[in-house]
Amino acid sequence: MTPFLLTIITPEKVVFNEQVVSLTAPGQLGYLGILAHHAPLMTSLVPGKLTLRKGNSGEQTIVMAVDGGFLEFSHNQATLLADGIIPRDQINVDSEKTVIESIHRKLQSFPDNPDELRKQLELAQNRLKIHMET
Amino acid sequence: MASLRQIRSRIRSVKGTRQITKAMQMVAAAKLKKAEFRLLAARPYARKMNEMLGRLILAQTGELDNPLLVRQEVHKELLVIISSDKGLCGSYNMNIFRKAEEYLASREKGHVCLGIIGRKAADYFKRSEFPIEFAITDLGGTVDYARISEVAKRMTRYFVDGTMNEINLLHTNYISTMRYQPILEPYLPFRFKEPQKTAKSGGEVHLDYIFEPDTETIFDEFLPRYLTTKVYISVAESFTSEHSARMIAMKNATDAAEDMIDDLTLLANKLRQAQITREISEIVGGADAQKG
Repeated sequence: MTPFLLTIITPEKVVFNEQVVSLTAPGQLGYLGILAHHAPLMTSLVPGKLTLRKGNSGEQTIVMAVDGGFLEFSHNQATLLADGIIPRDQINVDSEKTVIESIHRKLQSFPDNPDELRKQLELAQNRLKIHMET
Repeated sequence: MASLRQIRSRIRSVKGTRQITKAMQMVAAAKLKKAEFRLLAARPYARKMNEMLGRLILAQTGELDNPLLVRQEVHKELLVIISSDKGLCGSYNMNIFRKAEEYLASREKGHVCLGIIGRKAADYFKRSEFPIEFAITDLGGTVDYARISEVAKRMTRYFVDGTMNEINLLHTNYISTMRYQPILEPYLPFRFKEPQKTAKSGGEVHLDYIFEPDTETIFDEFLPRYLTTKVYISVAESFTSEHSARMIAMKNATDAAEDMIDDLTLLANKLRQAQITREISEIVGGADAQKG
């Protein structure tokens, strides 16, 4: 399979910069898969699961939890601008659960930024979900 | 003229100063390295955002309908100034203040509020006739994305709810260890850089992009992140400049202390020699007197 370069960048650093053979990302209109020589594309992403395959026949799979962002594909290069991203094996279940609990508690006491909290809740739940499924 | 003892004690005190400035120089150098690393890590995101924005604007055919683009009549303006929390960094803060004063002098007093990042600017503008809308003085020279993102959101909120009709950003651009430059940039309402647009359409091959769902939706999602990134990178640039300014200032201080030690040592040696000569001539004189 033809590989292409995937660069994943967060506001703080370049997280990933390697050749992959396929990429599945949570687009705004649903999950989309990308192989080499895809047509030029730009899309916004929602929180969800990012799956990429590496190696000659895509034998190595990497799964990450992405917080949303943008994906651009052009000139056989994919660039993913992520708000935040974490590989599945680095997700810390306990800390995510604590975060979820604390947000639930805060939401009950009429905070002044409920939308922001709900957004964070969604992100934490997304990470937890990705960790749970195998 | 100072006595030998006085000069020796001065040498000791200057040596003490040199040790301190030398240590501060080394601390600043270490912090500079870290800050620079963070800045260089953050630049690709900002650069890519710029590129994508250019493409979005190029592909956008109709008028964009986003509240962040609306240019209103300016009744209330916010000037956000990024300075350092600590001093001892040469003319770094002074350059920023001078630029700010220059700009403020051209504005009407009732119109402008200040937003401040860094304790030095907060102290400096505390007594000015421009009210301070917010001041963040506890970043301590390290950028924190979560904190900056809060600030950016607050600024956007001010603009959207009409508290402010225009927001400008004064920060320092880091060019190299020796060079940095205070720069004043418009922040909101968001303005496209027109020349970029024409250059892109002329030079780069125009690609037929698929936009999902459509350019407008992407743009609405894109802009808040772009604005946050802009503040983040500005703060990162400023803090990197601050550490580099401090390192240079401390290096100069160390060098000056060294020069002073050299001068004083020379003076002390001269005095000591004069004293020895005097003592010898006294002894010789005394011996001659006894002989005679």
